[in-house]
Amino acid sequence: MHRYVSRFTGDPDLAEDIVQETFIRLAEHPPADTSGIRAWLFTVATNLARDVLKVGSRRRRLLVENGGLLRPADATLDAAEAMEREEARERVRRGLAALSEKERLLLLMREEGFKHREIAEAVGTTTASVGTLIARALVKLAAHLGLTEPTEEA
Amino acid sequence: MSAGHVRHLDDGELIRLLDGECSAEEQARLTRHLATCSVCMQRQEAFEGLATAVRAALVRSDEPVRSVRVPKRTWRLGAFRAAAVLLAVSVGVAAASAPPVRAWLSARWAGLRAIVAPRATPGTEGRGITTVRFVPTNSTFAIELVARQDTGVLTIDVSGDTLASATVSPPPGMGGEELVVLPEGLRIVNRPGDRASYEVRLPRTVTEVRIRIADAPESRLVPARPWTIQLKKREP
Repeated sequence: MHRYVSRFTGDPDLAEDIVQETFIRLAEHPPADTSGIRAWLFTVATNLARDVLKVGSRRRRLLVENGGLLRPADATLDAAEAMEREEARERVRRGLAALSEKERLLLLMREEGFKHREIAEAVGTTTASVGTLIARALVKLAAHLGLTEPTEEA
Repeated sequence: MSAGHVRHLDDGELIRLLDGECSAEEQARLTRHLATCSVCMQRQEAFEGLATAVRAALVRSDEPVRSVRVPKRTWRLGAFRAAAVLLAVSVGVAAASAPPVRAWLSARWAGLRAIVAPRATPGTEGRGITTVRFVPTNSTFAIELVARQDTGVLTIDVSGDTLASATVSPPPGMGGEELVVLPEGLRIVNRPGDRASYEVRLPRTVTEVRIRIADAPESRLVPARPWTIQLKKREP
């Protein structure tokens, strides 16, 4: 879940706090139906992340802009490798930030192995349309990351 | 058997196939089409490649898993820290001493590992134990509350050195809450009508705290800062 929130917010420290807060919410107000507990946790985390991002959007924008400067390089890697990795990280952060929130949710929940039905519930759409929306978001993110697009539909 | 008039698969269908989200019937239809249509087959492969590449980029960009952050509040357990130093010295001495001394110290140590000095509340004639102290043996610590209460909070602070403590406040009244230290954690025996609050302080050797309140699912927290959890019953 930390991975998901971290990708969603682009801020691992913030993600850590959000994950903790999510589990505190679980302890305080557990859902009546515990069968979909994983989806419930991700929804709570997403909502918390959304709230935090709304409040701190300016601060976050600054962080994204200065991400490369503010984030310390991994100590275990040599300088060149660390820089390369940081660049790649920054590219993905920017790519994800360029997506709409709905697109980000679609892709990141898919990465976490959620079913289309659960994703549909989270983004407020029909299960049948999730495939198309994922395809679109995938192409958009890939374009931002400089990956090749599939041939256009005839 | 020309595919000339058959419509091509749309992107959604290709993704559904990729994600294993098709019904058996749809899957049969789509794979049948792919077998005869090189255009769609190429698009399917391209989507698959794209999804793999995006996944790889995401994984590469994930931050490495970091160690647990040191909590900011470390000043509160002065007395505990002194006890911890004493314990550490005792253990050190035990390791290096002659057998009788070592045996004696081991016995003391074993005693300390269980509930250390449950302290009776003044004036309640030993009935209401306010604080229990103990030494958690595992890196995971479980806290279980038997019931969800009318009110009260559970505070957890992972900042001590060796000793753990659990406190009930205000002290339990008639037949009130009971703190039971178990090998793997703490059981708070309470009832739905209770209004007490609990403070659990744990040493930093604990890296994961599991909390279960009544029959709700378990929460797993990683020490980062003190938490306060409301114990009042869920609003309908």
